[in-house]
Amino acid sequence: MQTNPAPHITSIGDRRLSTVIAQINRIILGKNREVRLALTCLLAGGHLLIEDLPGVGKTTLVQALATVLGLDFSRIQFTSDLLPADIVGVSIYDRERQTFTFHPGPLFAQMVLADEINRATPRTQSALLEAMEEGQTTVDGVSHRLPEPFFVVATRNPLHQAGTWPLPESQLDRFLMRLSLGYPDAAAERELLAGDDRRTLLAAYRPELSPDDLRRLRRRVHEVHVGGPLLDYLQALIRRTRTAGIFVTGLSPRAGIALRRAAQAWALLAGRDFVAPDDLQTVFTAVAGHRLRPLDESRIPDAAVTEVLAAVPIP
Amino acid sequence: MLNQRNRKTSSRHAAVLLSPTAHGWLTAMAAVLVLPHLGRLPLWEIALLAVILGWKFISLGTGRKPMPGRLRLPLALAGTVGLWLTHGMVLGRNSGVATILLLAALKLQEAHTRRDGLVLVNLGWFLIATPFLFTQGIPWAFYLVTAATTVTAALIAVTLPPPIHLPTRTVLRQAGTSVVLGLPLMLVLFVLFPRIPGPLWRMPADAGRSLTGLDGEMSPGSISRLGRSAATAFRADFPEGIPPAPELYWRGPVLESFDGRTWKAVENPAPGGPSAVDVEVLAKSIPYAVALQPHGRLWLFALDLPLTGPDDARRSATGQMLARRPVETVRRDRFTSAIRYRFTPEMPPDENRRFTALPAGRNPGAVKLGRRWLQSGLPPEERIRRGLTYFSTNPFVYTLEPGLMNPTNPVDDFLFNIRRGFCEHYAGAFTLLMRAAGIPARVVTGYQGGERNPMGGHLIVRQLDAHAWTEVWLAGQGWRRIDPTAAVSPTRIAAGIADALPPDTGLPYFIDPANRLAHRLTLVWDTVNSRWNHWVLGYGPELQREFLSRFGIRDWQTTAAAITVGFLVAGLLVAMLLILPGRVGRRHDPIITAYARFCRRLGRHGLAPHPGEPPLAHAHRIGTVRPDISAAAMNIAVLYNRLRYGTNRPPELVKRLHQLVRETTVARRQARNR
Repeated sequence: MQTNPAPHITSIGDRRLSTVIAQINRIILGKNREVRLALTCLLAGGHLLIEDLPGVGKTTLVQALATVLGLDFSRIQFTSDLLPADIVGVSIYDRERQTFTFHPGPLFAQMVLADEINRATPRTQSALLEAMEEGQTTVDGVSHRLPEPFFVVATRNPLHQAGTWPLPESQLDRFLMRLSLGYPDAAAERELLAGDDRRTLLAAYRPELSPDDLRRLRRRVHEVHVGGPLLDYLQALIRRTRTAGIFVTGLSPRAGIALRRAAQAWALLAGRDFVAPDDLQTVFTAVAGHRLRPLDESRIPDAAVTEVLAAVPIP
Repeated sequence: MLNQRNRKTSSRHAAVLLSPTAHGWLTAMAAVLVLPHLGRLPLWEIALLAVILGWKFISLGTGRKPMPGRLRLPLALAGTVGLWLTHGMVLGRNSGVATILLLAALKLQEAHTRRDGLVLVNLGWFLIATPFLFTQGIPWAFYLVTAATTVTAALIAVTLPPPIHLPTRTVLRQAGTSVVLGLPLMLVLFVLFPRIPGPLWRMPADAGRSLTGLDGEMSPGSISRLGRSAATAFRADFPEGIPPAPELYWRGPVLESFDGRTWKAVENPAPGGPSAVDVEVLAKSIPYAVALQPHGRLWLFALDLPLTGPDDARRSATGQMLARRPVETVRRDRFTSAIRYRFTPEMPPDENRRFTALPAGRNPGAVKLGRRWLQSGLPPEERIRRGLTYFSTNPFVYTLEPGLMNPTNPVDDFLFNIRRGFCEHYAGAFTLLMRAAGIPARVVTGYQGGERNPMGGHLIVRQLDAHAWTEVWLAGQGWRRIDPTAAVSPTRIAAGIADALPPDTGLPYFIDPANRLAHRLTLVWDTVNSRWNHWVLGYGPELQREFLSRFGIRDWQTTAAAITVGFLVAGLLVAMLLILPGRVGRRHDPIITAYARFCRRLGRHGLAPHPGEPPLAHAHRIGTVRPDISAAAMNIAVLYNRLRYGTNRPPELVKRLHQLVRETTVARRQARNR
């Protein structure tokens, strides 16, 4: 029997994308799905929230992504005394020129890792979130454009909630995806323990893509075809979250757009020029999970989200 | 896709396991369905059901092991043997319900898949109707709503895809909403659905079933037993006003043969058919309607003496109205009766002799007394008066508790020693005296009097109004009613049993007028029941015509049929409008058809997609369990995705998909050979 039944499926994803994934997979072991989702999020032009315990490789993943994609990287450790100016930057009076000169903060990087975002006060958080939404910041009445592309990866520790400021739901909505890495499996962990230090490995990496490549790929995400039946399916899924009576509120139209975009990016990564129901299902938990809160507080949120997938027939 | 899903349902149901929620609901449903039958089921079956349901409940609640499968066969065998020992081969309501309940419990015990769950739910829809085979009272209407909600809830729980867990309240609310939404349709169908005169099928009678009421025999104590039952025997509506109490003799079985202790009806009460009855009406006849509670016998109760009755009943030679079939449900009939009449004025001598026959050697004292009147050469009327005078001049007492009579000569014991008795003692003794005195006589059983319900305006006749009296035959006058009880206790006939008995004689609490509030409540409840019987249970062709004619609908049958058909068509149209938009253009989509065919084929091997499982994920799963078709499944999924969700659908790819589906055969048990 013929094994390649669909020679017409054009690989519109750049071949270098698979190299990117392979490179990152060498650093973050046994997390192919999460790595791909993170990349999907960046290709879709969204920001990423990683929710996990310390030491499972959150920072390493972000550094690897920045390195391989050729983005300049900055890291902000959020603490309770961090002020908005500490991340955005300050205008300082220049005595010689007799004007205020803007000194950009660590936010002015193509890839920003906001570590433990919920440790900062709401004021600082909202400064970051505003920047994420607008693509610019305003200091002393002057707007400063952030670099292009601009990706924020925030991390959050689900435990140790003491002394933290939980993100309100409206701000969670600004993140396209939420991921958690989890423990590696036995084989991956063995390799990790036996192998070299991750940072040493990473130091040897070279960028695989130029910023231009990335921009072109992001444009291609928009070109991935979303057919009528798939939109039917997407609408049915959204409707289900609103009517099933298992969530406090259903998904918003913005969440619907986010789902579509993420599914398009995932399809591009998979080398397809159209979105299949599988793509939508793969990104569904990551995109919808943090936007839905189960009515039954005792339930694991992701289980309730998976329930929606099982309940909606695929058109 | 709906289309495609539907076609896959049968195979999918077989593969999907029931969730714990579904198990819980099914068990609750079974409990609700068993409940109304507890009083009727044999004890061993109650125990068996309790064990099966209890085990299920406990294992669900605590997560302990369910009942092991090896117990299934012994349980089923025990149940079969038990049913056989209890009911033999008799097919009846009791045995039928007992069997189905047992089957349902056993099915519940082995239910694992959605298909099992659906079987149980279907059984449940049937079982909620079974209590109505026994009783149709108002409380059961509420039970019906409750049970229907429970079964609907079970259906919801069973059909939810497994990972979905809905809280009990949500399931109940959805089920309740469905039932409430169904009520208007139910009402419309109830009112408009064309009624057919007579039942559609016959209920097989149960062996050894007993209902309160007269039983066609009379021995000392048999009617006074009824004197303690406040159960309603029937209700009567008199459009022209209720006749005075002394005229309210409701004629039941006529007893002719006597063995010294027990009076019995003659086996065939109508040897000559209705033509043999010769009735002459002496006064205006009275029209009325009787709503009779089921009692499992053929006889209907009509005022002495019935002239006309319903179509499916006839009047026997003894003047009793007999239905064609046993009265198993509440029935409402119209009668006319003559209060004053002449009944069989001429009788052949051999027939005459039958009514003076006496058992040899029994009750010699009574026979001697009657013979003395005969031998004294008095005319028959005078002999009858002598008999009545005997009761009124001697210290006879009318009571529910006469004490035990001598079993061989009970009439002698009653007449000469005890002299305390209820109507059956007086009627029996008097009839015997009359026969001894050479006057043809027989005992008539039935009811006497009744209580007027001031709210409904109707007459309630209860079991405690059961009565027995005597009929004597006089040449040229025919059968004449003589009530010896009236000679002893005129109050009984004029005012009813409640006044005739001394206080504290064990009259049922709610009937005793001394308990005013209770008595009033009883009358209110009776009114409600009477309306229920009239408008709900008695809603037959006649009432339907009457009801619809109020709305100016004359040709009710055509109209009702037209409206019913109209509703059905409208319902179908709505259903189609709801379903069709999702179907148009899909039914003939060759891509969907091909994929559906492939899934159906896999379904036969339990490999159909789970609900909400997309093609590629499904193909991956197939690949892990069936490597032999792994590649084909993946190719089909990829191609299907490409054609269904991609930008275009080149004809050659569509052809290729069909070809792939055609070529992919699923071998049996491949997974086991691995």
